[in-house]
Amino acid sequence: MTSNVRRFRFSRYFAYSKASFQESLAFRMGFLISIVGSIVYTIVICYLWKAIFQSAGAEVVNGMTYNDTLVYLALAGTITASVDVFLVWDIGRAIQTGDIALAFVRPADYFTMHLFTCCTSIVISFVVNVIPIFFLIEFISGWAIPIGFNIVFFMLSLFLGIIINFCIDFIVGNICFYTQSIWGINIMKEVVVHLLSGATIPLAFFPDKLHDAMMFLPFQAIYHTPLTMLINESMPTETYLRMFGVQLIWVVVLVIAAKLFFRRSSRVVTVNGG
Amino acid sequence: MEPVIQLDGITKTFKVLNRKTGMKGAVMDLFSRDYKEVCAVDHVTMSIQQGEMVGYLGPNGAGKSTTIKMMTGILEPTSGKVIVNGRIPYKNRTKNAQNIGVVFGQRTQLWWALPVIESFNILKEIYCVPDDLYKKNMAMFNDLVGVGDLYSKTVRQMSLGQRTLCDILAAFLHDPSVVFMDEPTIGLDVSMKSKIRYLVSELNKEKGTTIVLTTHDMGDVEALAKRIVIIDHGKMIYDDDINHLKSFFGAYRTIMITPDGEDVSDELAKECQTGIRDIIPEAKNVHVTVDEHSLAILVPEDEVSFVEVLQVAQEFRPLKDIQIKEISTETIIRKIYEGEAKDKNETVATPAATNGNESEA
Repeated sequence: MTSNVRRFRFSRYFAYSKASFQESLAFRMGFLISIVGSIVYTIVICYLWKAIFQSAGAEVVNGMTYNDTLVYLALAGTITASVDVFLVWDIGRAIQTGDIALAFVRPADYFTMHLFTCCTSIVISFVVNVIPIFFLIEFISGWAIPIGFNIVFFMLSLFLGIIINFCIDFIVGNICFYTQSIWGINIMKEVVVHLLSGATIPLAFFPDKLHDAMMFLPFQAIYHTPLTMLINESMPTETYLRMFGVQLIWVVVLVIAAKLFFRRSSRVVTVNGG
Repeated sequence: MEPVIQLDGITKTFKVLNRKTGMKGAVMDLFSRDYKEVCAVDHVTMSIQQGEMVGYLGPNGAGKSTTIKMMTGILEPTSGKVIVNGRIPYKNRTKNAQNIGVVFGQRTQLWWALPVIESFNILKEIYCVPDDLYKKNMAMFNDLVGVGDLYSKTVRQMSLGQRTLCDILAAFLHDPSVVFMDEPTIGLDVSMKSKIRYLVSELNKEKGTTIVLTTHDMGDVEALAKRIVIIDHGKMIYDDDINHLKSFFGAYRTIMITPDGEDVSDELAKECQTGIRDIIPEAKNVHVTVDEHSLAILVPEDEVSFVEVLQVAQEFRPLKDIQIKEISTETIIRKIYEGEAKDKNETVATPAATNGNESEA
């Protein structure tokens, strides 16, 4: 029996991905609404920054043209929406209702289980949200995004970014083991991540010192790195290596941190109710 | 033979903030460091052999669920040792989970929005159940309860009974050596309860699965468990055969008589009690009390013949109605608990202590 268990080890996590896929499909209205939301957001961004650029009276602000900014922010917006899978909220709610007990009696690692579950929803919303919005932006901006190897680098980098974001969410979610409440912590996390990752304002718009400081934080590796790779048709090999290197280091550091923190925090679990 | 579950003086204490009342209290609580320790489980020791069915009883808040959560590896004991299938559950959560099944009567482990059969398929993969075993188990489930037509329903559309049934099947899907059930029959109707009892006892027989069951329903216990463990205020107060419990503490039955054309009163109860005691000399511990429109005659069966008392009671007055009531779990538990308080462990510690060594393999 044990040999069987080892051989099929990963299939058990794919089962979680599958379950999550089937559950998402069960609520199909959600897709429609989310894509409408993304389109509206893109249009708002489009006009908001047009106004900003007009009032600035310059073609180039902080080294970015209007088109650059639009592409960057609209993409960041839709990617943020699809990458954010409410993991903090899920973990928090499971702890609050006591349903966490059910996850703990499954022969699956809690971290890996959530990672596989999240990946499904991210892939789904990438297909139904990000890809259509990508073409919408291309259309509005007059094909400003080059299509070439940059897409490959972007996808790779985005994958690493997703794992970094997942780890941050997982760690923040685990705080709920101590606090039993998640609302405030989650709000704070969202503000910090959105601001420091470049999802709301391009990082180039920050003052130099702040900008430099932010480069030492993991947040910029979530959205800023993949978007930079997407927008620039080609950069020196050295730059690519450095950017991927930084992302990889953060992935390793955060996965270890998340697992260690879970090992500690899950020991103080109190299962509420019943 | 090694016991499948071994608890050795396990204790679980929780730190709880001493909350103050009112708006002012709520604000002050924000800065309070005034914790008190609550002991949910207090030095519980027991060992359970493979294939046993154990009823784990106790009033609400006695610490039953907490013990189960320590045995399943969800909680870490504050002190003491838990071994399940030769492993420490909380240290080997994943490995332990592969060999146990869990049913929480108040939660479902099935996917809410999916048809049950999909949940089963997913569980099959999560637990790495081989195809042939899966087919065999599904066929067996179908023979036992015939739930084939439920499989295409989603869990959210099911009744509580159907959902519990499916949850129990799900817990047995991967042939675990132990299944923990935390109040599986809570909130179910009579026919569903009996269906579930039948299912569980058959599964135990066919697969030799060890079953630890908590419940408040004496019917569950009588139908399923040979051995019962009682816990109250976190302390284990009884661990023995169920028949022993009945003869030891619960050799009481109550006769309810409703006199015809006469209202019951305390005087009538007193008259009845002295009447019985006069006719039957051994009946000095028979008590009669008023219970709504009837007289309740409490008969200690190890002292006096139940039938004799019944005969006397029948002739006491012309009767409209007569009923015989078995003692309830809660009453037995209360009796055991009060008994312990009175003669300090003597009557109670004995069965608990002997059972630890001689519990049948």
